[in-house]
Amino acid sequence: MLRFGASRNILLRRLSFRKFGTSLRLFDANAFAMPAMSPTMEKGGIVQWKFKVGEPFSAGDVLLEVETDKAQIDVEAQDDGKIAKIIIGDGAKDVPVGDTIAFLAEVDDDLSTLKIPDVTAAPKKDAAPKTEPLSKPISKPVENPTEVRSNETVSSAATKSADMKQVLLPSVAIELSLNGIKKEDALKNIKATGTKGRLLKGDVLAYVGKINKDSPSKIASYIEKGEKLDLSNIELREPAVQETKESTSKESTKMVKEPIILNEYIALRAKPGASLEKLELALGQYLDSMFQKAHNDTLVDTRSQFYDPIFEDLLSIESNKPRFTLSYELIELENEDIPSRRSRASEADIFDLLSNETPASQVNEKSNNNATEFVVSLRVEVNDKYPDSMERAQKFVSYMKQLQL
Amino acid sequence: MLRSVTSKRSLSTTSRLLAIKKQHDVVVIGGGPGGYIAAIKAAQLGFDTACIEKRGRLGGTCLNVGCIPSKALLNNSHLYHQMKTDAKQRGIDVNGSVDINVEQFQKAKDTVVKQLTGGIEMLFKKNKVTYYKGNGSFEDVNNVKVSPLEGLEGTVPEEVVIEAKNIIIATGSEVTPFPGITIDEERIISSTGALSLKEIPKRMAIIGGGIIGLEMGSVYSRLGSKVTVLEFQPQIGASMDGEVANSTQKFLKKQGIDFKLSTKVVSAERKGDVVDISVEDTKSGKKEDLQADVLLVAVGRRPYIQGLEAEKIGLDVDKRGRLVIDEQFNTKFPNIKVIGDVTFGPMLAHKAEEEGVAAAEYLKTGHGHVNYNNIPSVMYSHPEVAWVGKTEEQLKEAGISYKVGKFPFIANSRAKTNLDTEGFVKILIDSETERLLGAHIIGPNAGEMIAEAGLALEYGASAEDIARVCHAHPTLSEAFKEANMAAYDKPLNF
Repeated sequence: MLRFGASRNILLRRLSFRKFGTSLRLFDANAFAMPAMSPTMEKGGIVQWKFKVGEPFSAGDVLLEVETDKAQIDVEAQDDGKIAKIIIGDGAKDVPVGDTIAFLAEVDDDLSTLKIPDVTAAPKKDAAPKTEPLSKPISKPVENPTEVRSNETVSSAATKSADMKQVLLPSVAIELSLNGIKKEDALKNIKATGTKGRLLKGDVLAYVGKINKDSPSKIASYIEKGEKLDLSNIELREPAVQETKESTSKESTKMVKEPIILNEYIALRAKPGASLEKLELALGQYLDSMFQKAHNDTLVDTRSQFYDPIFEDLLSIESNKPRFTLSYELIELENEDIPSRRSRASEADIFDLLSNETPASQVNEKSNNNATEFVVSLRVEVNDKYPDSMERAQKFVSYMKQLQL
Repeated sequence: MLRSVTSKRSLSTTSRLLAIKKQHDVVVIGGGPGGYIAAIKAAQLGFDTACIEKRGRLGGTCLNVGCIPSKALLNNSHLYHQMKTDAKQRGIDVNGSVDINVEQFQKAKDTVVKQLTGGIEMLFKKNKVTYYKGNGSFEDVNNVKVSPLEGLEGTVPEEVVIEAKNIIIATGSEVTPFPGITIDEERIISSTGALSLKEIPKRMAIIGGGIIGLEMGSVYSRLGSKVTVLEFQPQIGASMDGEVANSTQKFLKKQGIDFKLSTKVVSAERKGDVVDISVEDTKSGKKEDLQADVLLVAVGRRPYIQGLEAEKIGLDVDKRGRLVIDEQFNTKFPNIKVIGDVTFGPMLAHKAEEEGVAAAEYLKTGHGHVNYNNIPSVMYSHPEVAWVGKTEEQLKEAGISYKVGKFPFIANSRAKTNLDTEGFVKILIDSETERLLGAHIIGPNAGEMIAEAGLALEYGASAEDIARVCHAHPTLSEAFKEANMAAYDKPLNF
């Protein structure tokens, strides 16, 4: 159940594609090399191929079983594909690691037109490097003049003098002793690329000439670049909300949007003796409480087991902001006789003042002669900033309509 | 005779109340992992600090509807799954059936959440952070208004206006909705709903093969749901290393999760008790219809600034809704800083915590430290997946010459004794200096092991430095050591 060997080969394969160009990728089968199942493995046997030529497999499928001197191990496919040709079949022994044992193709490749390279001509690069079985150098940086220049400018910032008081990293101490360099000399002479003047293994390797002199500062500046948030190329959102804000402050000059206005006329029939002033007061109180009610009502089904008041609250935008504003006019329609008797209750609410006669009794109109009729002209301006404004405004209007005859 | 009374009213539930005035040195808006840590740190540094939170419980998304509850479900579902499928081969015979008690299963999770959120409130008291429950919004650049919220226990009794020398915004993020799909948290759910399903769906479809989708998919797959993951990209795991993502997919597939990659969801609609989903293959354009009992929409999160009135004071917002900051978290106003999900960088609780500490330290000393190259990511599936630093893809793109060292858990003695050997450690180092560039782990306890990689990255260690640190035997962490050996030399046990 190991697939490290297999995946390495695929990585190397990909690398070779990059070098040869993309046209190869479309028409050429890929060489599949004998995988190394352990770092010490040099040869192995093929127990059995689990797929036939032409049969498609997907990533993770066991492609074949390989035999080493220690065990039999399954080799899994890294990518989807199919087998184009098997070079070394079941039962073969002592196949050297890195030798091409099969050619693989993409799932949708046509095997009849697919070009299968000659085995002997199969690029030797596909062979796994035996000296470093589990580590592999990949993709050398492209050396172009601009990149080199940018590296040089940053490299000076990434390199510092070594901190003289530091405890050496184990790798650094070993490398120094291998090269016969004293700690004091090293700290004096070797430039450090670690944080706060810490000497790193790479710094010593560069100093003794084992690696390129610029490598430590190059990698240090590459790492440094990732240490900060990328705040480049920030695209600001159009401050749409702000604009409307500004325009409302200058609303005398221009209006951006036509506001949504609900107009409603509500006819009221007051009990005899209800004065306009009293009705106005009671109506005002009623308006206030309905305004609150329309804002506080939950718009979702509170019986749902998923209803959570806190969650709803989090979803609602600025729940304490008014969803609509209102203005109204109370008009007395007819006033046949100003009643001499004043109402007894000094703090009557609106329902006390209104005639509680049902519409059915309207048939008997004569008996209503003493009642006074009013019309409330209601103007509700909906605040279109919130999604629930309209619904709440309509709720409010419906509450107001309850006053109607 | 016509008499009329005209009256104009402009009412607001709150505007009539006279606001209380308060003063603090630092006010933090938001009590999530970024905000509460910033508040505690600021208080510890000697600032008179306040924190405003409107959820009613501290801890933000992470503690309430994110990391913490999901881990409770993951851990317990894993135990259940092991007892059900794995106990026998380990020599444990279960006599009688092993069943899930959904109610208790959810209760165990809720208890943890309650304890932890309550714990933060205790920490506030201990560190003398003033806690305002209510909605925080900007009055102007120096004043933040806390408004009471209806139905919120312990909310401020009336409006409080806080004049603050410094303000830290940490309002976090919210679930990104999927255009055209209405989330009812019953049949079509977000991650929030997925944490508290009352029953186990027979078929669950998940839009999004990122960490959230795969974790919740794991939970319900273990509990018996047939899970299908629909992912638009050709690969799962968001920003995972490509090879690690492929292996992860394979392990999850083995557990029974179905994957439809390169798949675009065209529509999803609830029809009674089922959800009809239609998808399209992004490569071939082939359409397909599928049905699920529950559809989880997990396509990511977006910054949350509702109710903050950021636009009132003119804070800059970018196209993705993030508040714009500089390297020291400053907005265009020097006294207002922004940290966490609501601004740039990965949306992770621990990233927000780091920024919270750094923001408080900037206020005190003018210096703070967050290394964005060294922010680990963990997916708590089984096996776990954890990574930090660069992926192979990133190194290739930057043209960095690197070496890979790998060590499989099947060669690790502790993993073998645990009968838990799936996965591997993969180490990426610079090919010349051998400096550690990235670490990627799939395997048991990967999330704990990644901390060692973080420490090594922070101090510029080479693979050899890690390999020369003595690791206890037998532990899983030996695999980490051996992978480093493999990167610069050869492993010993493989």
